[in-house]
Amino acid sequence: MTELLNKFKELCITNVILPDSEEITLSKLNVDFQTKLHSHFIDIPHDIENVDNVFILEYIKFINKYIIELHSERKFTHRDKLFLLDFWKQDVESSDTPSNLLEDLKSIDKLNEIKLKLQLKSMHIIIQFRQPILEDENKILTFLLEDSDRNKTDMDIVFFDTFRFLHSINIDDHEYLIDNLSLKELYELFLVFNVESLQQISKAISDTLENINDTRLLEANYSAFY
Amino acid sequence: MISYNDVLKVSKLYKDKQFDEVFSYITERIPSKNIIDFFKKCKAEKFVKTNDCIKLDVSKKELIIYEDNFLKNLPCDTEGIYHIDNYKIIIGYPNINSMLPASCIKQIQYKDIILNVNPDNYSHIPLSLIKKCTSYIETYLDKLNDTYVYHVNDEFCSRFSYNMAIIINIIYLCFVHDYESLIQQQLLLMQQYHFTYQDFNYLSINSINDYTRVINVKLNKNDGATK
Repeated sequence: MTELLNKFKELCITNVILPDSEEITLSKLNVDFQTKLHSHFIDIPHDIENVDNVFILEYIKFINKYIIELHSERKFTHRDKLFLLDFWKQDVESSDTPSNLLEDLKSIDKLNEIKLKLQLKSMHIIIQFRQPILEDENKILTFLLEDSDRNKTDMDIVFFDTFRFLHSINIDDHEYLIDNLSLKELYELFLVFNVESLQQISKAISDTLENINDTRLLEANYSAFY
Repeated sequence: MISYNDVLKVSKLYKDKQFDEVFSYITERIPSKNIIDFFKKCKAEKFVKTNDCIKLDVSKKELIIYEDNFLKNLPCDTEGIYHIDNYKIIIGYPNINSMLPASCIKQIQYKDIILNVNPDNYSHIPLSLIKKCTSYIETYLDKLNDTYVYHVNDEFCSRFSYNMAIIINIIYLCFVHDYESLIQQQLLLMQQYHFTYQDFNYLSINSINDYTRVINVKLNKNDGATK
């Protein structure tokens, strides 16, 4: 009996070369992963408003934490995460379709080149972007999820999905680095933007990452491995 | 056996909305092979005599559910053998303690090595193998979902669906009573009739109700004689 369990353990352990974090030894997804995910979900009250949004945010946080814990000394990037999600999905589906993902993921570097100019009332704004690291993504998610009194609206999803990519905001020639703002300040800043501006920020990101948008959808699809 | 004190305990937990604890308490008290076995045992505990029933308030009317109407269409407990890749896999109905598809996998055989799967050892099974079992697992879950929690007629019925909330609802229907009435009854029997608290560990709620019925008959007779 132990022999078969050992065989499963051996089958699951593999080495993967991540795009930003070099080679890593990890486990392919197994029932242990599903059990942890199930335990994570079961603690979410089902009778709260916008429960779907909570599930999405909690799922992204769970996946990030799962990856971060693979190797606590490495700073895993958003690109590493997308690579791993695709790797796990291909494995779970036993798919051997050749993937061009590694090449496609290079589009994330193009985020650094964008200078998005916006006009917000009388203010001239320039936004610069970057690739987030998973620890920072989880800080934003923790901030959004820990305030239990506030409904988790669609705007929270928009905030996470856009502002995690922000490097700096230049307002009338004064540059604010996102890293120097608290999350509370960042969220308040987000609320200042009108829907049209937010759509422009979102479009700049999704246009740049157009060739990996299918993989990006996996990020919030909690049914993929559940 | 689910004792009077067990019923008292789960009724208190349910009253306090500690639903996970209700589930844990009852599943520990009723060990089961799988969900079908668990439901059969719950039903056997609830319906001891032919006229035992569950009473529900539906649309301001009382709906009476007898044994035949409760957990209707519950499938027979079956398992199947499936050959997937180089494995021989036995699949059946899920365990009560796990809502994961993996709990439908009962045994995996690879050449001469056999693994009897249970929640204590299934954590290393790759999801890729589980995924290949999905279509077979779904046939069992589909049959399970054809069950009715109760079906009196097409108007008064409630479908089962494989999720924790509905399983807890079934536990509620079988074992939860009005907590205040239970402790009043217990207190009366201890004060007036010298029952000890431990006695309620060995007696079912049906037995206690029988005692109470006899006591009431006796009291009514005494009242009549006095008048």
